[in-house]
This record gives sequence, C-alpha cells and structure tokens, in this order.
Amino acid sequence: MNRETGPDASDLPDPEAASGEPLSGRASVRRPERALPSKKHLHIESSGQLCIYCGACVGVCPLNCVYLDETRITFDEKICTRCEICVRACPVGAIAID
Amino acid sequence: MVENLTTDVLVVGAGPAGSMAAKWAAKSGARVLMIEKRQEIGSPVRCGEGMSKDWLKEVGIVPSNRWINVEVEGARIFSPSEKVLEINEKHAGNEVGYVVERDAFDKQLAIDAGNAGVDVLLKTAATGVIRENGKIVGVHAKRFGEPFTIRAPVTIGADGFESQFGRWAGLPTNLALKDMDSCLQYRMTNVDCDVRYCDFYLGSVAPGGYVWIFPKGEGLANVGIGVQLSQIHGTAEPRKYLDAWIANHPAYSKGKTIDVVGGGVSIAPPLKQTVTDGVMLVGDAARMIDPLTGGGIANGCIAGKICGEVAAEAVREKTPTKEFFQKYEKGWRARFEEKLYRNWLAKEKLCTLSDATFDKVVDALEGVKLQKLSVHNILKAVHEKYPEVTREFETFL
Repeated sequence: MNRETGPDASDLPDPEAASGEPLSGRASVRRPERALPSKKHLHIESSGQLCIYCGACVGVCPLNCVYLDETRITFDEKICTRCEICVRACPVGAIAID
Repeated sequence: MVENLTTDVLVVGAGPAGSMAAKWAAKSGARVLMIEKRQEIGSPVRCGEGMSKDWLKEVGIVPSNRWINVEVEGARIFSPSEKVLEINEKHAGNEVGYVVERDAFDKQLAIDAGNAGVDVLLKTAATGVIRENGKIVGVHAKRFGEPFTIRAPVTIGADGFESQFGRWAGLPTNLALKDMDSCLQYRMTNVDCDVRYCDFYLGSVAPGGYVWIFPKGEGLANVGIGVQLSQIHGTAEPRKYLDAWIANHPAYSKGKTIDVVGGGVSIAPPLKQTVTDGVMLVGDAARMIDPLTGGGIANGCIAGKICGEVAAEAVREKTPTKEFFQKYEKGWRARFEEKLYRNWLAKEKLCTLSDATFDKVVDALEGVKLQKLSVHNILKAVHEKYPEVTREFETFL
C-alpha cells in the first residue's frame, strides 16, 4: 500500500461501530485512540490448504486492512485491531487468533 | 516498466456490474478502460448462480445457452419441519428464473463490453486512489506486479463485496455484522435434485440466512448456505452448518462435491451515498444486493447501465462532479431503492423468527393462492390462520 494513496487514519471508521449499529456517522469517521491488543496474533492461512480466496475477510474488515491477491491474503499489522470479524466471516476457518 | 495510462472512464472490476457500466459508457461515446485483478474474468465463481430473467432485455443482455444451465419453473420454500411453499417463477424474486454458469455469464458481459470498444486489462489490481485537490483523479495500480498509474476523470468502483475502492475514495461502505452473510457452497453431483425448482430451506439450519439448492442439471446442483455474521461466533461455522444439513438430507448426503465456492454477501439497507467527485460505485461494491434473497446480479446490471451512461455524459460535459453524478444516484434509487429498503426491513424481522414461527408461516401459506407475492399479502394470509404470529409484524400491515 502506497502511504500517500492508501487510506489515511482520518478516513478510517471506528471498528467498534461495525459490531453494533450500522455506521451511521458518515460524516465523522475518526480512528479511535487506543492500544492494540498486542498479545493476540492473527493468522491467515492462505497457502491454499484452507483458504478458498473468496474475499469475505476483505469485505468485512471495518478498517479495510485485509488485502487479497489472487493467491495470497495479507493484512496490515499496524492497522489491524484484532477485532476478529474476519475470523467469523471466513466460511472455511482459514483465519485464527491466538 | 508498465506505462502510465489515461482514459475517460476507468472501471475497477470486471464482474457483471463493471462490464455493464463499461459497455454502456463506451456505447455512449466515452473511452473506457476496465481493469480486473484476476487472470480470468468470472473465475473463480463466487455465486449461487440463480437469477431472475425479466430484467435482461432492459440492459441489453441476450439469453444464451452458453451460460444458461437450467430454466426453473419456480421456487420451493421449506420450513424447519419441511412444510413446503411453492412459488411461481414470476413472483419468486431476484434469484429464481435461470440457473446459470456464472463464469460464462461474466465472460459474455465482458465480451459485450469489449465489442462496444472497452479496453480490458487483466492481472491489474487497483492499490489506492490518486487524489488531487481533494478529488479522485484515478488509481495507483499494479499490472503483473508492476506499479503504474491510471488517470481518468471518472472512476467506477465495481470491485464487488470487498468494496475497497469506495472506502479508499471516502465512501463508507462498511457493514454491520447483522448486515452481512458468510456463504459457502458445494457444487455436487450424484444428488437427487428437482430441476424444476430452486429450493430454499429456512430456520435454524442456517441462522439468519438459508440453505439453497439450485439445480444445474439432472443430478447436479449447487448446494449452499448463507449465515448472518451476528448469529455465528466460532470459526468455519458456515461449513459446519452446511455439512450438518447435507448429512441430514439423504438426497444430498451421497453427493460428490466437485467444486467449493465461498464469499461474503451484504444484506444491508441501501447506502446513503454511492457517488463523490470523480467516483461512482456500482453493484455489490455499492451494497446493491437484495437483503432478503441475497441476489445481486440484476440490480448490479441495471445500475451498471445507468452508471455507464451518466459516466459518458459527465465526460462529454466535462462535469465529473458529485453534483452531476446525482443523475446516477437518483436513477438507480428510482429503479430499486425502495425495494432494497423494504426487503431489508423484512430480513431484519425474518432473521429473528423461531423455527416454530417459520413452520406456522409456511403452513398458513400452503395451498393459499396469492394474487401477488408481497410481504403484505403473505402477512394477510398468515394473519387469517395464525393471528398471534402476525402480531409482531403489524408495522408491515
């Protein structure tokens, strides 16, 4: 992701909003100030053993920080808050948190 | 080194909505470039492959046996205790009419776009937007892994459920958990399906969604499931629910899976805004999927046509502004926004129903000849037999 062209912090919505009501605050999409739950690790198994490259995890990410190449899924460690929505969304269980 | 490009209209994503927008922009006189990150349009498939057919003519799609597997007579809705409601094809909504070969369908639409003069680049992914003076004037992209830029006064985001382009452009397309489904489907052979019907199984077999059987030919069917994200909590839940359902249905448990398809589906209310300066969103990227049925092809194509025509006009008039794009915004809303909203309300209610209530609803409708299938008519019929069930639906009556 090009730093100049990708989403900057002020564009990003509050991930907590995604688990409750729809993001109604369309005007104020401010990134919350808080520490990441650093002890948790997100693992995306995208070698093809589990992943079917369907892109569900990309579309559900409230911070738009999961990326799908044709045969590889990556996420931005710095942006990810380990909200685990992608873990639920993955239909085949290719994403895990430990 | 890949050369930087400029065009009039850039379309990000070559699914049905993207191809349709590209085609109609080109037919209306614009120079159009459509980019697709995959190496093959339409593949891998991410779709149940059921669609209605009454809208095809409106957007200029000619039905062809190259992409139609089966033409069904109607839908059957199975309650949890497997009482059955049959619905004629005309009344069955966005997913019933044809069962199609989606990869062939998508390719046909891309061929139509190419024949209208659209340039197409595969293996080309948008990686971010180019912003100048606060306006989007194109995208940063990678072609075969090499970075380059594409500049265009109008960029159309048709990047599907992922909907990344719109979010880069500052249009909020984020979804609440209750407004998305996680889906998994097996294409199964050696099954005992009925090619006359698309079947839907409701209730706790698929929390907040349904199991579908869309026949692709004798003994061959798409067997899939969608579950609402707010109702599942562990990992791989869609697969567990689908496997459990199949194990309980002898007509399918002996089937052989020859393909696995997955994906996300939005079941959201219509977005408040689908355009901004230099940008229009269309199809799944604009959350245009019918929240009740999960069908998105028709709405994507209908909006795609309007979007393409407005894009070409904006290029001609040199007015690629948010204000000018209201023509598209109003156009697609006039065509199907109210239905999206109503069906979202209906979905909100349906996904709270217990198995017992589903049984009563389907039982009440069995044998009742409805003039027109609408939420209102259904509720009236249920009210006559089980008034207690409709009490919580009074807002709809």
